[in-house]
Amino acid sequence: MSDRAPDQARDRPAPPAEGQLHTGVHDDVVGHARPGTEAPVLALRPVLLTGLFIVVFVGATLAGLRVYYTRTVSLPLMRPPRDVPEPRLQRAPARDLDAFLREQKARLTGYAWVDREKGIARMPIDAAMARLAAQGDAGFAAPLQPEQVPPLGSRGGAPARQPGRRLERPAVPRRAARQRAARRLRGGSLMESLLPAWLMPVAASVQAAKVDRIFIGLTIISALIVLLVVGLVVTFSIRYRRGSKADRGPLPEVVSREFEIGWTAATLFVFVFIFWWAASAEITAFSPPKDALEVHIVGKQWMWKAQSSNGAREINELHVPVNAPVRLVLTSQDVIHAFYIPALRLKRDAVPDQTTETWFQATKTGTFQLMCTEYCGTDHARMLGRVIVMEPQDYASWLAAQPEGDDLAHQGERLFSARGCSGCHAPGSSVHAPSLAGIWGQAVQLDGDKRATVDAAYIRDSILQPARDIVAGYAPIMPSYAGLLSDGEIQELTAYIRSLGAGPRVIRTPGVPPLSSRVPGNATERSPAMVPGAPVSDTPAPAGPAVRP
Amino acid sequence: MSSRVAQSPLSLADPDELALGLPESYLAAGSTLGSWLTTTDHKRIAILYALSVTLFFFIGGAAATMVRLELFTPQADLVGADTYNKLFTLHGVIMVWFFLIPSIPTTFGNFLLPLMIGARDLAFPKLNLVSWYLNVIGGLITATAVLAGGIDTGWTFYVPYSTTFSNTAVTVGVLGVFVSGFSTIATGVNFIATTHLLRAPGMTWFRLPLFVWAMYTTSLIFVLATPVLALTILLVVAERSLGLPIFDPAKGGDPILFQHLFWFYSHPAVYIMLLPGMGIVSEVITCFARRRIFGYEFMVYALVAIAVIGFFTWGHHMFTSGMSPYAALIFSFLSFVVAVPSAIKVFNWTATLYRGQIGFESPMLYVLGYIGLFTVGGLTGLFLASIPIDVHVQDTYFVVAHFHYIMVGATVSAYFAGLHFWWPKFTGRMYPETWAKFAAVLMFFGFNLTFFPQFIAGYLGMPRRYHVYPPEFQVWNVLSSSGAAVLAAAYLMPLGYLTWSLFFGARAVNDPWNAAGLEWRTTSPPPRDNFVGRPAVLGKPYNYHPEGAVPLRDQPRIPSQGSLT
Amino acid sequence: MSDPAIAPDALLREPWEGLKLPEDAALSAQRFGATFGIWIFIASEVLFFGALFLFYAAVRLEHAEAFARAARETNIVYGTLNTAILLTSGLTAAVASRASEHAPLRRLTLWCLAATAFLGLAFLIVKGLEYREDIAEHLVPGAAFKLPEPATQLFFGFYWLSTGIHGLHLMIGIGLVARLIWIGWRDPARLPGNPQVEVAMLYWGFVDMVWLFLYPALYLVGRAG
Repeated sequence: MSDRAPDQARDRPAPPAEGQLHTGVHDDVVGHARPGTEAPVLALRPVLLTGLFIVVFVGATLAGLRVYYTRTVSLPLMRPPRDVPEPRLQRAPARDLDAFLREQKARLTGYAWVDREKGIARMPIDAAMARLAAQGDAGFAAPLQPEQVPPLGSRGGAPARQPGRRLERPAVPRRAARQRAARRLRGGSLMESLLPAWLMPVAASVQAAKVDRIFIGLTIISALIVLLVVGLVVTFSIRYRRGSKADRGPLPEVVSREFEIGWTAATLFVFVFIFWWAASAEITAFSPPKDALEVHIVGKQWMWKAQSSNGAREINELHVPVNAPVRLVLTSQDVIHAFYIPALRLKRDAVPDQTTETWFQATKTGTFQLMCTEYCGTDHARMLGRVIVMEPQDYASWLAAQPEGDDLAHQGERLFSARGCSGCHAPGSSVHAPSLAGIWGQAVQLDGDKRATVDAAYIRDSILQPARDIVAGYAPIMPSYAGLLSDGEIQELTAYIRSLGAGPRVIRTPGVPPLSSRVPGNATERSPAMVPGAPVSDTPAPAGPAVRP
Repeated sequence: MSSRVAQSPLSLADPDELALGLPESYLAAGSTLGSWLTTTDHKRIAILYALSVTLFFFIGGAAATMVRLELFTPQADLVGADTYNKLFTLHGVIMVWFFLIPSIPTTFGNFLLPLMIGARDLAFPKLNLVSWYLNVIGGLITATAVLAGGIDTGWTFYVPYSTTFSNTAVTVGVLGVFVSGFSTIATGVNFIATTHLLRAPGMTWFRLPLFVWAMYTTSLIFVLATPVLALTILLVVAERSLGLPIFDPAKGGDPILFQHLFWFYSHPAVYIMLLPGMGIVSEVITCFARRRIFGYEFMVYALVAIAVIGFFTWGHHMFTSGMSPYAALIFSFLSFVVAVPSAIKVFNWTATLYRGQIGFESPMLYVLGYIGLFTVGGLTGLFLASIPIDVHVQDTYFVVAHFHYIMVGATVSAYFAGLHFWWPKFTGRMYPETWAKFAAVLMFFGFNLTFFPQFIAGYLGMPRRYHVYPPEFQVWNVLSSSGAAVLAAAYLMPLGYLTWSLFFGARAVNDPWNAAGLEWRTTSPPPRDNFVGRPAVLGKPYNYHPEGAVPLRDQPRIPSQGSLT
Repeated sequence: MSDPAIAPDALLREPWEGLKLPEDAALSAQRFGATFGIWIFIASEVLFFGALFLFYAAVRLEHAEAFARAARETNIVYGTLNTAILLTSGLTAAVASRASEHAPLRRLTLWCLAATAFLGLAFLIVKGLEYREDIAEHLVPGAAFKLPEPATQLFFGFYWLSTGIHGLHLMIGIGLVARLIWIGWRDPARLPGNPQVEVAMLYWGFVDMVWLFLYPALYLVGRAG
């Protein structure tokens, strides 16, 4: 059989034979084998060689990239590594929070080497303050080391509870919201227990639990269908492989028709069920609750600006209270962006000169990544931010600390506490240092019978050369910050001091933040940032040149 | 090249080899460059297309390789932001318009459609040649845009970024796509007219092979969807280069309207990429299962249903753009409905295997891989049709993984299945089977290693089009990039062994797979006029009998008539 | 010169000549194929202009007032004149198409083709005059635009684009007709019965139809009452 000679007659045109379907061309009876192909020879060597090649190739690539990555090679196109805030307080907020607080406490109250070689050490804050007050500048043998305090936002809802000071709760229907959220959360935590944490993103909103439920359900249905199809394909492939002894009778025509109609109806039913499930979840949660906190988001190449109805303005950050509905009204100043917070399963496009809306209700405190997902140009991948979900008390105190100023001042305020300025210059500090509230634009009396007007140049000088001009009645105890603050940071501090105003500063007491959106007017009238064409200030109004003339 | 003994179409190809009354093959009709560039033979134009499509595939693949290398680490260490943006745009534009859309219709469709329906050529042979030139010119224009600094808008060209904000060669790039659009419209007109008018006697509509049906439905989409893209591109060019306000939000224009117009084309375009692959799978699976395709009529209806319903689901690309919730519901529902005919096809292919006489030659391996990958890709489409999930994963790597499963996992597998299946018919040579099997298996595993991690990264929240990303996604990207290396090797292998087989492969017989289609009822490679005489069709397609098949491996190898060399 | 018969062998093209049919039958199959092909292409063009009108409809729904205000700035005299010219050219095109099927009417066919091309050119000249006036009146969108409302610029964006695209189609049509005149002039045997005449005239008719939709959209909006 294997050495059958080529059957030359087959190539001659022949009249249609019994069972033949095509005429006019050299043909044989269709469906019957004809000698023809080469016998496949299974040569092991090419297979092994190729496999080896692939392994070596992949290994070399991996090794090469590893070397490339670990060695800091600098190319003209390279950018410095991005500082991605480490996600804290996400997996187990209570435990993380405890650890975090312990660590902070230890840093504040303990001794530790900062740089052993140079003999720089950290001491407890109380001791340092006492020493500073007693000895002044001379109390420090080594240059001041700025304390590395994480930025305000990253504490992720660490409760800054002050004993003996009762904070009023924000006027959101918290109990009902909490109960709702707790019910939802049970579903979410069930999912988290089913799947390893690295396979499921953090679910931190009411919407997230809902999306995850549908996702898991769909995954199970899909897995079953894939198993069915692959199982059938594999079973048939083995059972009906060429030359097997399996029975190969014809199929009755009726059966095939019934099968067709059967599985068409079945898939239609399953798919419509999934549609109904997903769509009903979407419909019931489409409109935000009436009492939602309204936040206006403006996208701009490549940053996010947020302005709450209660007055807080932020850049690339959004602070929201936990368990309270938040309604987002989005727009863009240039191209289309998309506001995406994976942990909240929330995404909405920000379209220029149009407003889009969405809402969420966070169920967990923590700091969550905010990203732009609609491609928007060069730095699309760097259009990031953070959403900080806080306990209502923390949110209230955060809100209270927001100056009625511009955004640069925000950053300045953060620096003001992060770099330790507030240790001495904040009202109520035990250190004898001039208060900065209300000095902007005022004349101050200096030592040596001089007078100076507080402006950007004066503040800059005071930060970099504090010993030059001493306010009358104070000791020259302030260390120089030359080299420790960048120009931008000085600008921000200047903006902050300016935002403290010319008069005595009205410090808002922590209390009921205006969480409702009962602001008169429609969406576009409420926020100046939302009026098409209106300039949105992301730089402060003229603060004067920060550089010395 | 076989010696040109013969001048008349009825003369012998190689009188020493077979003393039969065989005409010379289409490859022997002329070997000069001029004879190729001015040919109106659908088979030669298919070869021209195959060359250009392969070129564009490897250009797009090179861009993809750079993208995957850059994503190996969370930092920008291989290329910077702008270069990265240009790379993924190049990858998308080239792969979508110059590989995926023309790939199967213009190569296999051009070559096989007339053969399968028993015609001598397409209805408008000159138009066919013109369409190849348009395709190549379009590709060159787009390539010029790349040389002129690249395009950084992404293949979707969303306004107002593409009209007002991008500083790159957008106009030139989209004009290249515009020109190639005429090429696909011409191909569509040609295929529709050919299918309607040039079928052989007895070739009724329900005797057409499913590949022809797939070409026909694809051509309908070509003709009805592509002009919308052409107009959308003109609107972008008018705004960008002529300064006419079209979508400008400051003048009251609507950037979302652009997305509607764009996806009205681009969603049906997904089916342009999908349906031809389905046609190939239907041809191959029935041949290697030695059994008539299960539910032929349902397969036809499914193709038509996908083509028609596919026109009404474009809105599911825009769920997060703030569209009316009612519109979103309708689009979501239709997206679920369009998945039903796809599911029918998968079930029918599976059922075709039942009681078959299944052989595992390389085309069949590609097809079995296709079924698995297409099932995964199709089912993840359901996730994206569900509005709440889509809101989470829209524009993340979940979407990227989904459409790569459909377009690369499924369509490119089908492309390779068809390439191996009809390679003896195209060239008259057999390829090395062991290598082909190895490449098929490697492609399957490389593909899954590349794209399955992207589903997870996407659900975890990694956005697409990011050249730097939060480090928690690195593990998935490293897996994906390693898989891409395997996949690249697997794609290069056919380039090697198929080229080798052109010169050293065994001569192929007319019908090496013992297959049933009309295209196997002529010589390998076919003569200029395709058939000796005019074939007539007497019965339904796919007349396979599992009981009668003799295992192929027992057959001796014989030299055959005609080959490329 | 008079009464040349229809000569199928001069007109038949591949693959139709290889159908193993008698020449007359092959030519009529080729004619059917050609008209079938152009109808499919016209279906494609309908979607092309359909998308353009969809754009118009969507923007006009949003800015009805501005569109009415802007449309009053167009020159209705030129527009109506052009409509009349193009409708007349449709008549000559239809006559040319029917006459080409009869060999004795070759001369009539040529005259009608010439009239069609001439009317097409006349349309373009009138359009050019209108463009000149529009430019003089600052109706080109941009900084010096005549009207204050921004959305009126959208209307004129559509105006320039749609008339431009239509004009381009018309130029292609004139080119096709000119080619047919050239063929019929040089080689009398190739005009009568040539399927290309009907193909070109179907295309011409389609371009006419597009204008019939553009005319009210550009000139009549906001002029009622």
